[in-house]
Amino acid sequence: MEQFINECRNTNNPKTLKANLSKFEEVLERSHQNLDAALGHLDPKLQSLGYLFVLNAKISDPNKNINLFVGQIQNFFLTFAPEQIKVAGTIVCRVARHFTEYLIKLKLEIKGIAPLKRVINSLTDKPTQLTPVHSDFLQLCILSKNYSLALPVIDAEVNEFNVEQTQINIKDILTYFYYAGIIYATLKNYKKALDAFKFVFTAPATALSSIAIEAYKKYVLIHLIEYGVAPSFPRITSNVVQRNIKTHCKPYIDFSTTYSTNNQVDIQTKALQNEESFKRDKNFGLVNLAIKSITRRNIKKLTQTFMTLSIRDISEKVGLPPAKTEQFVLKMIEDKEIFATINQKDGMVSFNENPEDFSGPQTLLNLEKHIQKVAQLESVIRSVDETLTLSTPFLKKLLNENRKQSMFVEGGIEMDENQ
Amino acid sequence: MTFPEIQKLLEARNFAAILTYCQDIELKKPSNETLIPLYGVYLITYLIVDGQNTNARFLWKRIPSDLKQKDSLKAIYNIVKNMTDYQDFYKSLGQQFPAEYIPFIAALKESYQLRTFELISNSYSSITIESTCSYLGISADEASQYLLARGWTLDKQSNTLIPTPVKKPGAKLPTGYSQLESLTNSVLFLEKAL
Repeated sequence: MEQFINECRNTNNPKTLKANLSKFEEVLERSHQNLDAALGHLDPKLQSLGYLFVLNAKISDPNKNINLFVGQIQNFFLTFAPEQIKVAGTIVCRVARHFTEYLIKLKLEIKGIAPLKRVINSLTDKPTQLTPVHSDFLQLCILSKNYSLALPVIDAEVNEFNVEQTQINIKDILTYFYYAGIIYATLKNYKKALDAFKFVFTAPATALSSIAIEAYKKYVLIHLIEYGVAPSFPRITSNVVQRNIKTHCKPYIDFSTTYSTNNQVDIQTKALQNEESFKRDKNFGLVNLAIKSITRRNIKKLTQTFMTLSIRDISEKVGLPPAKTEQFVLKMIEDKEIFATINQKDGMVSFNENPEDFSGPQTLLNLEKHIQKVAQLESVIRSVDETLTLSTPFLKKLLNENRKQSMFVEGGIEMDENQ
Repeated sequence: MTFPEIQKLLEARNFAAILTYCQDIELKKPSNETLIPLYGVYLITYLIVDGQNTNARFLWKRIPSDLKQKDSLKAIYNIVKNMTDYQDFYKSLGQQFPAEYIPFIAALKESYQLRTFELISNSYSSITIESTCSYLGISADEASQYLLARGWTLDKQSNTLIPTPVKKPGAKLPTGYSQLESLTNSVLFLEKAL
């Protein structure tokens, strides 16, 4: 143990230190009772790497005081030196995962948000990189109901993950997008929620996963809220998912079929019929929102047929009490769902065209922002493409294919000669 | 108030910074005790900054349940709940509040009125004085003064008001070197792709 502490104090280069400390892992695991004393000898800020190794060894100690341990990790995550822990990404992620589990058990989820945010910032160079800690962070945000705090993280549109640094696996990635979808849906940003859930069930798969099933259930309901029709599979969905997923979400498919008929009574009965399974999946709130959104969509449809309509007509056509209709229309104008002006003198609503003619400076700025984004994305794709085409498995496969093809061609020639 | 930082920010009317301050305390302080006197301010600031009640409702869910019994917090939650209904909203602003909340309540009322004013200016081509009053939470006399000063006209025949739409200032056309640079970059990108 003394040797370990000396090593921590005397080696400065993080990479050599990590290599040296790795030799002590077994020793640390075997001396659980001395770990707290070791932590006392180390400074989390100066000897971050050593501190991390001790914390990691402490995970397997069955007799530890969990409250104390959580406090130690929390303090460590808020003070460590980023350049030191960067070389030990896998261990940081392991400690963070256990930290998250303990916090959930103790119902202290909110305490983990600031520490994990710092871990994420230290492990990534760009906000578009994904680590396993991302999904832990989002889980804590959801459980502590701090949804808005997750937005800066999920708005970053991740497109990179460093497998070597953190050993991130597909489950981390899928849960990340699943949680992101839940957060967007809770904050009523349905378009982004759809994108996130879509990613989960369209990810390349050789078997159906339960994360994909849950994501698809929510996807169906949110699609109904946003567009009013049942979704079809995007072309990139893998065959396994397309063929099997529907059998696992029968109530949802039934509900969306009924929903498309636009018959309010039928839709209500269908929702109540399956209430139990919706509630079990914690999706009954979304079902209710989908039913509520029918009124909005009906008003929207009216704007396509009529230029002006009296408030009384609107309330009759969509089944709202007349006193509420005006406020409802006003709310829709506020949300920019329809463009209309209300005339109280005549009790009429006139529907207008979108006043934006997309020729102003704002449009130019938006366009430019998008072009820049596409250009950045292109460079990412290019580099991914490069690493893939240069990887050994890909080259081997290519070589095999070539060989097969040339054999086939040779065979063809032989046949020709025989004739 | 026990928080000099908030007092300073309040004088500068920087509510976004107050919100960040409250969030920081909620996340970083080891115990909830520092936060208890803050919850009221925290809730109102969410309403002022967001202009809607989604985040405030989630904050209410995070408040420990024994605190929710406090009358001052209950009164504030009443505002949060009534955010979507104009009449009830102004009614709930009229409740009794401890002195430290009063500047915040005033700021909330002001920002809410301003937003509603812009909304009705742009969404009505004619509106009765009565509904204007209920949208803005002011009396009929105040209303005609407030609105005529902002360019609205009164149609005497039907006794309705004709609003003038409020134009939002648009973005400026980008000019200068930075614009030139971004254009150059786009062209370079296209050249490279070919």
